[in-house]
Amino acid sequence: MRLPPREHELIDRSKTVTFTFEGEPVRAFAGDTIGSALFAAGRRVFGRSFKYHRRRGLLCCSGQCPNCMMTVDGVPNVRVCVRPPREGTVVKAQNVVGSLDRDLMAVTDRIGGPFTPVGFYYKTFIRPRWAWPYYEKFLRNAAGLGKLDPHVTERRRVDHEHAHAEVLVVGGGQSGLEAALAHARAGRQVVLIDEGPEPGGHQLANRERIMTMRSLAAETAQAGVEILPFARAIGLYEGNLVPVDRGSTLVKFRAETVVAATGTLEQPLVFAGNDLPGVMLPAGARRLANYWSLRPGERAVVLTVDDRGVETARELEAAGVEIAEVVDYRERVPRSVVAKGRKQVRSLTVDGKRFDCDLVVMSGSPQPNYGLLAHARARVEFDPGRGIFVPVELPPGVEVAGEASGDVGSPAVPPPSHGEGEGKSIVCFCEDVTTKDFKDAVAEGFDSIQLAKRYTTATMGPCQGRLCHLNAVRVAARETRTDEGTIGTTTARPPTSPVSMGLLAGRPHEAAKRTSMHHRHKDMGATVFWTGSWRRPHSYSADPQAEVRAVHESLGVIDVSTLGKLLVKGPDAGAFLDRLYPNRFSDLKVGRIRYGVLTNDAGRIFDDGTVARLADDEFYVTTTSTGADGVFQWFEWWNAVWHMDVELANVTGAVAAVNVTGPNARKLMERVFDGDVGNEAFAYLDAKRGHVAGVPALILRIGFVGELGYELHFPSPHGEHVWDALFEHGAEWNATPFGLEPQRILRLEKTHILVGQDTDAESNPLEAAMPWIVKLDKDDFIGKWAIEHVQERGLRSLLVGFEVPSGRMPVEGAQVVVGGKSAGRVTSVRYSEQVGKVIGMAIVPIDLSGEGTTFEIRIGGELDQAVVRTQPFHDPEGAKLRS
Amino acid sequence: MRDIFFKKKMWRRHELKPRYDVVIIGGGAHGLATAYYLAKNHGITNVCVLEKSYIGAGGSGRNTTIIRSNYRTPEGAEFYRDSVKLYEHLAQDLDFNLMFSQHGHLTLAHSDRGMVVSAERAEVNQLLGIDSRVVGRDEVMEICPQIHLDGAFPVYGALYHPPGGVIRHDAVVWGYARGADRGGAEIHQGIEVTGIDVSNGRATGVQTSRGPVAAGTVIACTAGWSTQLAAMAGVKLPIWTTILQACVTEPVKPFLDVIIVSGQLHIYISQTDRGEFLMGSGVEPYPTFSFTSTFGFIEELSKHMLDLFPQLASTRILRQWTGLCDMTPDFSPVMGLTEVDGFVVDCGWGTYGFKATPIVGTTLAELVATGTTPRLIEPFKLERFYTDTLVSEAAAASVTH
Amino acid sequence: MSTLDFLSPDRARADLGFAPLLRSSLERAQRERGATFEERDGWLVAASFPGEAERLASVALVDLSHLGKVEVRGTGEAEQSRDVLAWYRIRPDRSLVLTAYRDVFLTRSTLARHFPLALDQTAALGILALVGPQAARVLGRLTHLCELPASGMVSHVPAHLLDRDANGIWIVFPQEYGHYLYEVALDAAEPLGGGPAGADAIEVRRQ
Repeated sequence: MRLPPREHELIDRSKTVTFTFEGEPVRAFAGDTIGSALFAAGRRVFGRSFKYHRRRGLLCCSGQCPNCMMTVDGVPNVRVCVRPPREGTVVKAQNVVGSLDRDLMAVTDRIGGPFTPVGFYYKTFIRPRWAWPYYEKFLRNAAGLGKLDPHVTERRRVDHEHAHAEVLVVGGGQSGLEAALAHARAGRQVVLIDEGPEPGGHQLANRERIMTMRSLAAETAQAGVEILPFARAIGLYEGNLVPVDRGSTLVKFRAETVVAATGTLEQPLVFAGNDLPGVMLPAGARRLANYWSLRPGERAVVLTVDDRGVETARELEAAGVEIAEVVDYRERVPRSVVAKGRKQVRSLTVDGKRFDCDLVVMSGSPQPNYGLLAHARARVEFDPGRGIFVPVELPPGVEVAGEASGDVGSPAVPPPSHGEGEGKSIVCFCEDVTTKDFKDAVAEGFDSIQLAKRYTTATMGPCQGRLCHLNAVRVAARETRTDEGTIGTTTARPPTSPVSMGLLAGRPHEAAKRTSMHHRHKDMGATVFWTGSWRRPHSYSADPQAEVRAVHESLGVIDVSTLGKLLVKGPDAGAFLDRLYPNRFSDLKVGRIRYGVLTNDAGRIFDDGTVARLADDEFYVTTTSTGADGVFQWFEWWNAVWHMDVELANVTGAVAAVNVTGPNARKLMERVFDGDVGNEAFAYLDAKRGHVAGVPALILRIGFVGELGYELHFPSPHGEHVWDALFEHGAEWNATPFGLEPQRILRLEKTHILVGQDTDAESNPLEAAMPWIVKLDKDDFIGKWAIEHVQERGLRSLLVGFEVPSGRMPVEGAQVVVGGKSAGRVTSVRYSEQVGKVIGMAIVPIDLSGEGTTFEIRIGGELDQAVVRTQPFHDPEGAKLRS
Repeated sequence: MRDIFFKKKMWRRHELKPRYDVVIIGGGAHGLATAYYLAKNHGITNVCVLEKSYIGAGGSGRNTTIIRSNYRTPEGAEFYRDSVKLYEHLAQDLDFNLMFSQHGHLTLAHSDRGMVVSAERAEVNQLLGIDSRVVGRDEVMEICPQIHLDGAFPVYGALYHPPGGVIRHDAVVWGYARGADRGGAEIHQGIEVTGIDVSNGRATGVQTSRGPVAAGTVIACTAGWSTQLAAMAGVKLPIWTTILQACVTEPVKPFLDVIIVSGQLHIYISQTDRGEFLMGSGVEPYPTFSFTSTFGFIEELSKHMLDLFPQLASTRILRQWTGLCDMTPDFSPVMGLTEVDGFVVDCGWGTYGFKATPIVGTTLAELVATGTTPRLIEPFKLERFYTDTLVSEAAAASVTH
Repeated sequence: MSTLDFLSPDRARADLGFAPLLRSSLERAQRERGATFEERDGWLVAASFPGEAERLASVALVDLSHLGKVEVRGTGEAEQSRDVLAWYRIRPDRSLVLTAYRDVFLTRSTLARHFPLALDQTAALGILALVGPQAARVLGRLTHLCELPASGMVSHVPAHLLDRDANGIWIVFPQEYGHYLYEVALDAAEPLGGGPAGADAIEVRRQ
C-alpha cells in the first residue's frame, strides 16, 4: 500500500501516467516503475517460474532476477521492477496458461515433482522413436518465457559511438564516486558510468545516507568527472574495451584504466519456501519503501548474515512495517528455516518457532560483483571465513574499488541450506533448481561444479548465476563432501547482464563499393547485385541473350572498373613477377600484354588477370574483382620477404575501366581515340596510351568475351563522361550496355575460365588445362615444387569444355558420374544462341578427357550424355579477336 | 523411464591402473564414443579414457549442436551421412534421450554463386542418397515463414536438408560416458597427459599428472590440443588452431523450428528445446589458444542476424563463449594411423567434429580392433598431405555449420 | 606523355573535340539532396545546398574530393611550397600531399624530382569534411580513431583522418566507397542537426 509522501521518495505524485496490465488500467506516478505501480495496486504475484510455474513476487527490485519478467509493448522478458511505464504502455503476463493468479501449468509443481526430477527429460520418451517429435513439441511449448511477435519488422534507432577516457569508473555508488574523485584530483580525465538515473548506488535507498550520496556526487562532478547515468557496462573486453548500454546508444569506451566499483550482489538464503511471493532481498524491500513509498508488508521477519539486514529492518520499521524478529546469523545460525504460504508467504518457522508474517527479508552473503574483473581474467578465490568469492590478481590497467574487492566487513557464513523436506528449497530461481536436484545430480556422478551446473541447469538462466552461483557452489560442496574452494567457480562471461541484439546491431549500413559509372547503370535500368563488396549490374533487361547478340553482331559496352589493378614498378619488376607467377613476364615486350594465373605455394590457382608492360621497369597487372585486395597483400607480403627493388601500388579505385567489344568496336574507337587504331598499328594483345573522349587512357586490346575488343583504363572521376561519350558516338552501331550475365555466356563460348567457378581450392594450372602458362624452366616461382609434383604423378583430372547433345541443361555443380559415383562436376554451363547448343566446362577424370569422348552427367536426377570439346565453341581460331 | 525414480551413478570413479590395452586421451564425445564402440562392437574392454578436466569440457560442451550431412565432397558427405544415421537411433542405443530434433537445415544463398555452390552440394548429396536439394525463395518462405528475404543481401534460395537438426550436446557426452562405463571402460577425469612414450618407433604408453600408464594403443582425441599431443609423440600435424565463438539468448516461446545458416552473412541460428537461440559465426582469422570472447563477434552477429530476423531486435544475448578449432588445409579431418606405430590420431575437426561423433567412434574402434583403416575414413589419413590427395571441403565447411 | 598519365585526371585535354568533366563519387547523392553544381577547373562541384547555413551550427558535411592529391614515397628533401594545403606523414617513407586541383600537376612534378615516387591519387581518393562543433561527435559515431591525424578503419573503410582546425575534420577515403560513406555520415549527423553543405560553405585554407 502507498504510504503518505516521504522525504527522499523518488516519485513525483503530481505527475501520473496510466498503462494497462492484462487489459486493465493501472495508474503510476512519475518515478514509479511498472513493478512498483503494480505493487501499489495490490499485485503480489508477478511471474511464474520456468519449470514448476510457481508463484513469484518481487525479489530484488534491481532488474537482476527473473521473477518479474513480463511482456511490455510486445517485447518479452522485460524486468518490470526497473522499467518505467509510459502513457498507454501495454503490459501482459507471460509463461502462463490462464492468468498469473491461476496458471493451469502450476499442476507441474504439485504432481510433477516426483516425475520431473533433475534431468528427467533425458530419461523419458526414449521409446518409441516415432513419439519423440510429439513429446518434443510439448516440451518446446512449455519452455521459453515470453513470446516474440513474428510480424515485427521495424526497430527503434540505435546509434553506436566511440569514446575514450583515461579512467573509466564502472559503478556510481560511494566507492565509485570516491575513486573517480581521487583520479580526477590527480589530474586525470575521468568518466563514471552508473546504471541508475542518478549516482549513489544502493545507498540511495537508505534515507539516512541519500543526501550524503547526493553531495558526494555533486563534488565529484565539480572536480571534472563526467558522470553518465543510465549507462550499463556490458563487459570488459581485451584492450580495456567497455561497451556501455545507454538505451538507444551503445557507447564503446576505451580506457587506460578501468575501475570496477560494481559493489556486491545480494544473495538469497536457501530454505524451504524461499521463493514465495513476499520473500525478498534487502534491496527489494528497501526500494519499495524508500524509492516508491510502498509498505512491502505488514509484519516481517528478517534473516541476515551481516549489518545489511539489520539496517533494512530499521528502514522497514520507519515505513510502518512491524518487525516480528531479526535472526542475525552472527549470533546464532539457525538449523531449520521453513517458509509457508500459498499465494504468498504467511509464516516463517525458525528452529521450530513460528512467526506469522507476510514479508521475509533474506540477507544472504554479500557476494562481490566481480563479473567485469573475471572478463579481464582476474583470478577468483573463495574466502571460507566470510563465505564469498573474492577477486585476486587483477590484470594491468584494471582496478577495483569498494565492496567489489571483497571489502564487505565480516558477515556470517550461512549453511548451504536449511530445513529441507518441508517443501522445495530453491537454489536457482531462474531454472527452478532445488537442493534435492543437486543431491540427485551428485549421486548420479555429476560431481564437479561444471557437470552439476550443466545437468541441473543451475546458473544457466537469465540471471546467469548472479543470484545463485554462490549457493550452487555451497550446495554442491556439501553434496560432494568437499569445500567451496575445491568445487571452484563456473566461468563468468560477458555480457554482465543480458543485452538486446537491437542495441548491438546499431545502424544497418553495409559497406559497398561502387564504380564511377554505377548511377548510369541504374539510369539505364540495370538490376544491380553484389559481387563481393562491389555493387554490379547483372543485366540491363530481362533478356541477357539480347545483350549477347549485340556483342556478337555489332557493339557492346561493359563497365569492368571493379577489376583489381596494380602497378609494379622498379628495376626488379620483371624478375619480381617471374617469381610470383608460373608465367614468365620478364621477356614481355614493352607495349604488350600477357594473360597470367597466380598460384599459391601448393600450386593451387587463386587468381588470374592480365599483365601489360608499360615500360622496361613498369608493369600494369589486373586481377579478378574480388581478388584485388588479396593479390595486392600477397604481392606486398612476398616483397617484404624478398626485398626486391620494386614499388607496388594498388590503383584499383583510381582507375575506371570499360570494355568496348564487337565487330564495330574499331569504328567506335576511331571516333573517340586520338591514336591509330588500325589492326597493324594496334594489334591484338597490344597496350597503347592516348586519349579517349579527351581523357588520358591506357587501352588494352584483349578478348575475354571473344570478339574484337578494347579495354579502356582511365581516371575514375571521368567515368560518366567517357560512358556517355561511348554511347553518344556508338549510337550509330547500336552500342548496347551488357552486364555480368551476358559476359558469362560470352566468355563460356570461348572456354575462358572464371577463377573460383571453374577452379576451386584444389585446381592447379596443369589440371585446369593451361600447361602453357607454366614455365618450369624458370629458377623458381611460387608453387613450382607443387606443380612439378603434379607433373610427375600425372594428371588425375582435366578441365574440359563439353556440349550436351540432348539439349537438356544440367545445373552448375551437376556431378560427372562414373560407376554410380561422383567423379567430377560441371563448373559452368549455359545455352549459347550463337553456337546453338548447351555448352559448358567440367572437371572430368583424365581418362575421359579426350576430344569427342562421352561421359555421363546427372541432369534432373537422371543420367544424360555429354561430349568433350577441347576447343573454344565460338571462333576457335581466334580470328575475330585478331581482326 | 524407471531411471527417474532410482538414482544410479552414470559413471564410476577408479584408481588408475599401470596398463591398459587402449588409452584414449580426451574425454570428449569422440573419446567416449570410441571407448563405447570398442566394447560394444569388438569386445575390447581394457580401455581407459583420460580427461584433464571434466568430461565434455572441450569442444563437445561448447559447440552449437548442429547435426547434418550435406557436405561438398563425396568422401565427406558419405562419412557424415553414416554419422547422421547412427545419431538417428543413438538415443535408443544408449537408452538416454539426446533430444535430437531433426527439423531441417537451410543454408541460404545470397548470390548466383551461392546457388551454384548449393547445387553442387545437392548433386553430390543426392548421388549418395542424402536428402538434400536446392529450393527457391518461395520454398524458403514456406519452410521458414519468419525469415526476411529482402534485407541487405537478398536471399536467392537455399540448400535444404530436411534431416538436419540439433541435439543436446551434453547428453551425447553423458550417454556415451555411461555406455562406455557400463561396457567396462574406465573414465578418469582430472588427469592430464604430459607425455607420450615412444620407443623404436612405437608408442608404449603415456605420462600423466598421476604417473605413467602403459598402453597397447594410444588414441589422441583432443581436438583443439591435437598439435600439442601429437608433438609429444613426435608427430607433426598440418593444423593451425584458432577459436570459434558462439552465444545464446534468453529463452522465448518457439519461434524457429529450422536451422538457418548464411555463408554470405557468416552467421547461423537455431532455437533449442529450452527456447534459447543458439547463434554463431565463422572462426577467428588469427591463430590462438586463448578462450577470449570478443565484443565484435556479438556486434557483427547481431547486425546480420537482424537483417534476416528483424523480430529478434528485442531478444537479449545472455552469454557468449569460445571453443578451440583445429583447422586443416582442406577442412577435412585427420583420422587414423601415424608414422608412430600404436599412436592413432583423431583431429583436424575444425568446426565440424561434433556431428561426426558416432561414426568416429565406430571407425576408430574398428581401426584399433582390426589394425586396418576402414574404407570410410581412408580419405582422411594423415598421409594425404604428403601425396597431395586432399579432400577439399572449403565450400561446405567454411560456412562452418 | 608519361606512362602513368592514365592515372591523372589533370592530363585530360579539352582540344580534342570533347569536354571532359570530372565528378566526385558523392556527386549523385548530393544531386539527390538538392545541391547546386558549378563547373570549376573541369570538376562538377556542389557549390551550395538549400538550408546549409543552419547545419554549420551543428555539423556540415562538405565534399572536397576535387582537391589534388599526391602520394609521395621514399625519403627526400621537400620544400613546402605555398601550393601545398596539407602534408600528412602516413609513415616515415610515405606521405599524402593535398593541393588545390589547379596546382596538382606542378606539385606532382616538383615532388617527382625530390622523391623516388610521386603517384597521383586525385582520382583514387575522395575527401569528406566534417565542419562544426559536432564534428568530433559525428566522427565518434564512425570510428574509434580520435587522436588525429590517424589512419585506420572508418565505418569498415580504410581511411585517413586529418584535423584541419576551422576547416573541420577531413576523412580521406577510397573513392569507390564514397556513396556508402556519405550515407553513413549523413545518417550519423542528421539526428544531431547536421547535414550537407556545399564547397562554398567553407574557405579551404593551408594550416
